[in-house]
Amino acid sequence: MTERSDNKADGGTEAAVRHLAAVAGLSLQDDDIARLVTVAHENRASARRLADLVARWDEPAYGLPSLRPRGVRR
Amino acid sequence: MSIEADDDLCFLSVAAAARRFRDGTLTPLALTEALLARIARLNDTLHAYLLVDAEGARTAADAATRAFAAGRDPGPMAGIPVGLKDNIETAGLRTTAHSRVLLDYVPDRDAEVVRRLKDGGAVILGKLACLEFAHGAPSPDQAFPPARNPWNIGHGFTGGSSTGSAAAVAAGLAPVALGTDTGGSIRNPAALCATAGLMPTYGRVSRRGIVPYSFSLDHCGPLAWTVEDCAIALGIIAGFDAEDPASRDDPLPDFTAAIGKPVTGMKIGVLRHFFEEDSDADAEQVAALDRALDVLRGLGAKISSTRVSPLGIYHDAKTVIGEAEFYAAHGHDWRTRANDFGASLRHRIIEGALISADDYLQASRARRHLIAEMDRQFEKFDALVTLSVPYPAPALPGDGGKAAARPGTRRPNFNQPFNVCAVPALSVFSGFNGDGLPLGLQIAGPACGEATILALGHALETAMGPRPRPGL
Repeated sequence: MTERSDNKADGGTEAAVRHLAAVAGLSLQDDDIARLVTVAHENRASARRLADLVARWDEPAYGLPSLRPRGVRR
Repeated sequence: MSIEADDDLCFLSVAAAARRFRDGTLTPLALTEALLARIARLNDTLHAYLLVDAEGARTAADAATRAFAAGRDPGPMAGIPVGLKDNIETAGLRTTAHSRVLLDYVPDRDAEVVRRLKDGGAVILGKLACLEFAHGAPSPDQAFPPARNPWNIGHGFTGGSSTGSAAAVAAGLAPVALGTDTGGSIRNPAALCATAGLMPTYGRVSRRGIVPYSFSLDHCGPLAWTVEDCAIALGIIAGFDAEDPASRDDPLPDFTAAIGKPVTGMKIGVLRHFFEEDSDADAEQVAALDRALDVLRGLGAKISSTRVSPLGIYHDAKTVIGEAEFYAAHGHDWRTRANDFGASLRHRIIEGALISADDYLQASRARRHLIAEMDRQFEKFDALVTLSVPYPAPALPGDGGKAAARPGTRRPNFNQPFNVCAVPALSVFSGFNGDGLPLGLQIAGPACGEATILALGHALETAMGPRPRPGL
């Protein structure tokens, strides 16, 4: 089981949302938490699609992103 | 002078005002006074300005007036009044980014773009409304009301996040304004308010002194009634700045030289799959785009369809990178004073905290491929065209109406691909829908290809003829 499905199955994301809200002193309603968990899962799905693309494109092992996306001559 | 005559002055383009300063038929001080009077009359309705610096504007306008009277010519923006999105820092003037978090923040130094404007003799009128930190949504608990769309004062949303910039330009409260754009925040409100709006190449305009949203996606650029005015403003604010780590030191062309340049033979690729397959759009938006393409074809441009990655992939990259970078920029404030954020952003910022380093890095690696793919398009085409927005202006969030039925901000938009790929894109007016609301299209070019898209935008704007201002 991946970390992502772990989170989905065991409420890890929900726990993380509750923890972050507590750190910031926010009291969230259950529907707020549910919405944030859904969004977090959507964002993970986004990241997974992008990682799949990187794998398909045969990214070099040292293909770290550049802070300057293109052509900065400095 | 009558209110009507003063209002005529308020609708002068930057180029026209500059000509009149030089032929002696208008002074910067007279133009500034006319604009200040119109702002005083309409801002309580439009809420475009959060702060009006009447005294500073009069001082700068007087200096420009005296310079012209003495026969000096400080440059193309001398004496031109400008509005600034309130996430752009101004020395001695409160800069809030439309947030209670910065309600008492008075910078002691101008942002680089403001420094350049002031050095060029521009007149800073004041600070303009925006979405909170260029990222939130309007909510009743915020320190300031949202800007209203001058085409639909009752409940019209300007789009975002450069809300006040677009509203002010459309309503004749500033001939030109600066905005910022991380995923469409210049082009979206420009399209919904019938102005032109240019997001320059990433790194072309310094972000030093601009409150960040996303380090690698933020851009600063102009909104104006005409494409030519965007070119004039870009010529002042663009250029290398060692204090912005992403700044480019590429040669700067004379952007105004592109204005009036023939577009005959230019090759234009149309990204139809964005709105025909990957997402959708109102039929009237698409019809306006097709009419505009016919106009460009009539001017001699060569037009054909082309494809890049599906729109959703750009949305994935923009969301993962943008939310993570937003949290990196604002997480400390949120952890220590979350209740000073508006209701929308207060919760939304948690998204960024939940994005892992792995996810962020994979998104950034994927982004390089999207950039390379876009580069290949510009080996075949001089410019790419697609819609700027899928719909006309919706109702303000919370006001009910159409907005409630529209998809939320998580929906892929047509602007994001060009932020992700770091290339310039221009939103231009393409017509009105049956309800009299503005429609817009987008022209994107290769990195540092602003001149090409400005030439195309100006040609289209000119061929379509003058458009009315909103009735206020």
